[in-house]
Amino acid sequence: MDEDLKVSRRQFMKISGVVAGGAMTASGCLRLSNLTTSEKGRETERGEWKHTACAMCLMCPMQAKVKKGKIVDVKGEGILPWDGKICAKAYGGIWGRVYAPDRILHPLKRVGKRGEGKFVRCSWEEVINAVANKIKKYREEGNPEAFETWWGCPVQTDNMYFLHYFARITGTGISYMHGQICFGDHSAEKAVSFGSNHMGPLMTGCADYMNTKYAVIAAQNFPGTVFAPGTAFGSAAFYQLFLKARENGFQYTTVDPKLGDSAAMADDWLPIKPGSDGAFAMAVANILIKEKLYDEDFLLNFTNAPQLIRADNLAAVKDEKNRYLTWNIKTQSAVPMGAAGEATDITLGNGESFSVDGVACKTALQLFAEEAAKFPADQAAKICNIPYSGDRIEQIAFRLGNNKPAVLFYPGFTTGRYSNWFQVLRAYSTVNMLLGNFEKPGGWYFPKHGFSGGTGWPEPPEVPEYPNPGLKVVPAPWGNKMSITSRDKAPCYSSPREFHPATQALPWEHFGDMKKGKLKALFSTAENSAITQVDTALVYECIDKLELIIVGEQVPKEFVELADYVIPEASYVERNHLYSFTALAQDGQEHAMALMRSAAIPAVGESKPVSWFLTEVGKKLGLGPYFANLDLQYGWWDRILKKANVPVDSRHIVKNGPYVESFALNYDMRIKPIDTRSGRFEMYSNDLSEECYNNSKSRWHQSVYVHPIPLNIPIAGPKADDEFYLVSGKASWHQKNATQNNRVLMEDGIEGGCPYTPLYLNSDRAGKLGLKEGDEVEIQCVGPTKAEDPCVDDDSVLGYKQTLRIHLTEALQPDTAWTHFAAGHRSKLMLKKVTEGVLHSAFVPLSIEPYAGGCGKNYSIVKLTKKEG
Amino acid sequence: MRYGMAIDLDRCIRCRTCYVICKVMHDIPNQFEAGKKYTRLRFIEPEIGTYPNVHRHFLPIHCMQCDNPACVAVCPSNALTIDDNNLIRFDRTKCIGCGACVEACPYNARYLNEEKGIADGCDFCADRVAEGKQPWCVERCIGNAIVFGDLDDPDSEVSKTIRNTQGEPLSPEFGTKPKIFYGNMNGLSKISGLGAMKHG
Repeated sequence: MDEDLKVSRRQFMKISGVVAGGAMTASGCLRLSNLTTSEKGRETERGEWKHTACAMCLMCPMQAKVKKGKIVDVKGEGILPWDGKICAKAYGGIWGRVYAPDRILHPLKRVGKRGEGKFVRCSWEEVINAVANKIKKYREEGNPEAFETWWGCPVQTDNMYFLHYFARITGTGISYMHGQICFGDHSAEKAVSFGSNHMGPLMTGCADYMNTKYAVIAAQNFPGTVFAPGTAFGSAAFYQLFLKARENGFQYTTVDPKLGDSAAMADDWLPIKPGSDGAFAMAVANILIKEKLYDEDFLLNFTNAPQLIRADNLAAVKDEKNRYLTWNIKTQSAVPMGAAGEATDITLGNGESFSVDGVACKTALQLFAEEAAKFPADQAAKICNIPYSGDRIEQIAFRLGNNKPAVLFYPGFTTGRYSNWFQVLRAYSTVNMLLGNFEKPGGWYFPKHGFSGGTGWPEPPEVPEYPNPGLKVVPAPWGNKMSITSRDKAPCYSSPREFHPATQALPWEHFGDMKKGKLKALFSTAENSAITQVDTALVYECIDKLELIIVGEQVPKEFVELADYVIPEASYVERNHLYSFTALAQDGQEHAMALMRSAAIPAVGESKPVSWFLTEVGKKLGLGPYFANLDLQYGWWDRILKKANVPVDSRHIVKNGPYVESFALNYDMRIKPIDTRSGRFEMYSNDLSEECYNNSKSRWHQSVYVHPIPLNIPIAGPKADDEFYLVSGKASWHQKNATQNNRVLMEDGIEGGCPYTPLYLNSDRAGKLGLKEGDEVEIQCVGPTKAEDPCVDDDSVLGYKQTLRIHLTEALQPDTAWTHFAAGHRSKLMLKKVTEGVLHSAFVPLSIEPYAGGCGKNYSIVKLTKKEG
Repeated sequence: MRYGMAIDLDRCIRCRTCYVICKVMHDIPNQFEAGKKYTRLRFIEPEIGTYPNVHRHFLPIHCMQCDNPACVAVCPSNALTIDDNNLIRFDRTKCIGCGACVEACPYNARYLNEEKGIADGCDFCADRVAEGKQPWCVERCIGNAIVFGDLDDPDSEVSKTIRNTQGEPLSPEFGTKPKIFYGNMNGLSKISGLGAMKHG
């Protein structure tokens, strides 16, 4: 290992050492705000209500009352499902972020060493020039992609479409889309299992909750931490659906190592050992199959359960016209598998085998049944360390089977927690296929209406012909477009595909390029990606090699500390952005809507929208004709609205609030074509078989991680009495990066019985280690190592230690040490309280999940030692 | 007229909106600026049972606006009185900051603002009620879990809610006759002293 890497890692460790227990003073340059939190909601009678949107978890449309240029109150829009309500985080966003006393108000330039957090004020001109000069240099050298933009959660980022446009025009790169650590492999799995036309609503949990009788919700602090743009938009709306659903008889089981703060409202809790969820899902599937509780009609018509697969090598059998085959029971021969909805005389082949041209075959369902049969309930209960007999799993399976289709079996929204998570998701998806709970009352629902208007990119003659007209662009997250040659997309379009195109980004690609000096400078907006990516030691090591780091933020965080320049970003109520989605509401209708985040107040201090900043950079690069005349606050969005056939423009929406069209639900599986290789939902994935498992050219050839039939893959685990899985989870009042270091939401009083910063341990397990409530412990990362798990790509974090206090609870599975997500930070510039929690990412080695691209976000094993004295 | 509240624990979705709206609208100093933990509204989350048969409940606790208030009884300066609507009125100008009311309240509902040198606590947003409005927490509660109104009117929303949700006072054994009734308590009322529970 070279000296540079050693120094960088030491620097990271040193930063941690300096701040632990140290006094918290922000540099003078960062406490420039004269807006104190004492200027709050007094005299709220006068003032004007303006339409905008929150950004503290998703983008609930929100009204902000503005009096003398200041926001004095916020509330929800009157439309369903919000019905005038907005949640605690919205208030936190205004008084804890927009008006935070340490809000960054001016462009800043680093003085001293990187990471010291010492800055002086500088001009916008200086930062614009610094960035433009760098990009100009790389362009002249023929490597514009040496500069990259990293962007954050789409609901926080200023005009994500414009960021991609900027990359397209300048040739710079764009990666680290937040999506990879949010839902990266989940989008890939849903695309693989259900096709691109159905993946979105299934990933986000879009369901007809008004009629749902029973749901199994895993790995999600439900309903408080919910991401369901297909049903609602943010907690404030979903809570209301949840309560109405409860009135209608909705019940649910939470499957989770921890009984989450909001999930504590569940009707029952199934504690589960981290990473063992595949065994649970397969056990449920086994019971549904054995007891014939599956929906035969749905399987025959809309899934590839009846598809014939070679028993020897798991490749699909095809005819001379390359068509997938099924078995016709009348003709007793293999016939082409019909399109979705065509199922005459074909069989599920449960318990049977067939011969096609002398080759022994079985149906996809039969192969899946054989895999599921390896998990009888009692055995699964042992694997999952469930503190009950297998009867509990049987109860769940029977409850699902007997109440179908008004049931849901949901694996949680967020992305690859462990290296095996893609197969866990596949198993969950297949259970839903067995239940046939699609497009029926109470089941999964695909909205039939919506406003989809593309990226809003300006086109000739409004701007000149794009440079490199031959450059191929491919779909990128959230309807964006990216160059096919980009770091995160090239591996998705190789032959065979190394990663699925629906995965969001491939972090190891940019880490690799940073180490090799191919990625030299970056601008990061709306994300604290120094610590939101896993494997913090590797991240710091790589970032330290960069020639230039520009960070856009509103409040100080780790990435701000590492920046060469900091730019004050206009907050989410100081600029315009269009969002469109369809919500299912408590009135039982679907509501297609277009809403605008808007500048309810002028940008605070010298802050500016990021899109303005990059426009200025673009002009400095001599690309004025592409940037000079863009109307980023209205014109951009009007292009999208027009293409989406919305009859009003962005100014109308800003003035009058969201544009909504409401429709009755229309349950019909035939409306949207299924965009998989077979044209059916796939329990046997033809994509996995042909791109990976049975493709001798594939990096993943014959790997269990891309097995076309779902299966359970054990992960590495604790090996001693003092070792635990380190798991992070969410609280309903702390959603993500944006809610961190927020003085309104971080008060002790808001926590109730869920203290934010300690490490949680199961009371009994802690007792056996001689630990009491409030004791100080040291945790040290001991795994997973490369030797233990083939997916681990970098384990620089092994040995990383932290000291903190513990909190004992009965509501935690004993193999687990649990921390609130993003509860711990190392920045000198943040509230001292946030430095008391676990810096979770610093304990997570980087894994590469084959094909789906998950990065093992929760996959960490720690050793725990009591601190004496 | 006796103003009171019903809080339906089946409709409280633990979102913390009531906590935040109260702090913001009543300008209660932030913990990180004042260096003290001031709040008119607190939460208790009793964890009942042992792993894996454990339930975690959640109760918001305001000032209970008791009919036999311990705080009024101990106030030496007559800053705390009972008005015609059976609401506890607090006259800041008379408060001497002795902290007796803070100590006396069995629900730990009051606090002493050390910078201002006076006590504070939930007054059911008395100023808003005087104008015919609802308390902030009632208006902004996402679950519509908190209902406010006249307990003496059997047809009021609050009275109906108490009947429909089997509303009970929290820790009646304290003897202060609280006027907040919790619906769907599911056995919590049997836990002695729960109203005094604190975390941390």
